Amino acid sequence: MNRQLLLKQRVNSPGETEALVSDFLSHVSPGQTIALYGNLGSGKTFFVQTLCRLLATEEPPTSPTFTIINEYRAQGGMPVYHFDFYRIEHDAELANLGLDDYFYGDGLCLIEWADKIAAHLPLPRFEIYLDFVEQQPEARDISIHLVIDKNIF
Amino acid sequence: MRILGVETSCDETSAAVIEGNRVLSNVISSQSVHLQFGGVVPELASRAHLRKIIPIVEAALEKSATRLTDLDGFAVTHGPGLIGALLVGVNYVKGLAAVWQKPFIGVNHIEGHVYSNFLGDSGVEFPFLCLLVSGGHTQIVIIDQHLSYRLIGKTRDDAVGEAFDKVAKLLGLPYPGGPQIDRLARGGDENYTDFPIGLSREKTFDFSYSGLKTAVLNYVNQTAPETLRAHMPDICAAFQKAAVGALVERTIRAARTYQIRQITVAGGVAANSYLRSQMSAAAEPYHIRVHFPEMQYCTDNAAMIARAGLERLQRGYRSSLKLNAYPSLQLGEEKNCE
Repeated sequence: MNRQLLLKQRVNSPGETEALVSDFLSHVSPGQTIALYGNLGSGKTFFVQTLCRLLATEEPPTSPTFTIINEYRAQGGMPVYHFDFYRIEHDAELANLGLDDYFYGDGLCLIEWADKIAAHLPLPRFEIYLDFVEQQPEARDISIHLVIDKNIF
Repeated sequence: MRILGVETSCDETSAAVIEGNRVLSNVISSQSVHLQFGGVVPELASRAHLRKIIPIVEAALEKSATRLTDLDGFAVTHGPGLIGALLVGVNYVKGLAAVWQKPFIGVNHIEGHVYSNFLGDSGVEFPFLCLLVSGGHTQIVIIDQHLSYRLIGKTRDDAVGEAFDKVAKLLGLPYPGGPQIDRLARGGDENYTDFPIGLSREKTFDFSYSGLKTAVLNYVNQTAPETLRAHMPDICAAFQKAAVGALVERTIRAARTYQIRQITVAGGVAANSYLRSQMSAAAEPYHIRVHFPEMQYCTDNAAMIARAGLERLQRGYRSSLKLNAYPSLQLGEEKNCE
């Protein structure tokens, strides 16, 4: 695996996150996977909501913690799959979900709590890390990586 | 009409037999598989509905002294939920219906929660407003007559049950978090600290719980562990005041705005004792009647699916053997008829 840092930035408000997501979106196309990492309340769902607003999905995203997978459709018809693996404790629980059909299909995959299914994540993928900033509850350090199979080179 | 209901939309495998409003049996996997078939079913098998569905249905039939030939029809949850889990129930019931040549119907899981209010001697009258609150849903719906739904408000991010679970985890409380917070909060001071109510500045019937979750997180991070431990009941009470406060304020305001005299509450969070007392107290001055389902019908169960299915079957709704499962099915979205 080859990991490349695309961007690292401190955002101080939801508005700054939106600007960052907007820049990032120019890298994104159908069929790609975006894995999000960050603790409870770090803004993973907010990141997804912002991205989907920019893609003009029919329904605004809500948290899929309970359903594990939410499906939306972006303007232009691209399917957007919104995953949340918060509740997953064992790999065996993934068997019924048919993940490969989503990961290797034509839709955009947005994955919250991606660390819970680390071994199953497709390549290439974007990895987005959302970190809290000491003493600044509103701020987040956001870094975006591109992870590819090193055999490509 | 005697109906067998089957529910496999998420974690619970459940089967029930009802006749009218009367529940003859309501078997849920976490209880009877353990009791009847020896040993705890490992967490690994938590979604293995396939292994449980036959013994669960047999137990529901046996407990209600019902033979498959006695039944007038079948009802099964066909969405929303996990696709793999839903398909187990849908295909099993299709098989039963085909073999026994009986009518069957796909039921929306959320519609099932609405109909949990019609189990037993409830006396709910139309029109009524239903607050649906669970780990996956938070919405206010007006039901003018059977099977008709007007969505008035819903969550814009996290469901309220999810907020309870995640806040419990932040506070280091065991799973499931809802009952833990409810229990601890009874001995706490709800004004110990102030947590924000989402969207309180908007005149909306929508909800937002993401900000409340983050506020508790920030509070936990800024507070010494020993203070947290000493004031756990107070923090739980303060969180509950904000979380439940939003539910009560919006529900009562919606009922008054739409001039509805009856409120029902459904879903897992309907079991919360603070919500029960606050909603009833807030409704009383306006002479609005509040109804809660029995505790056992608040969480996912097949009796409510059978009850909603009965309403549909009585009105001539039928599903065909082409019935599919729909993970993102919305309340009122009809996908169960030919």
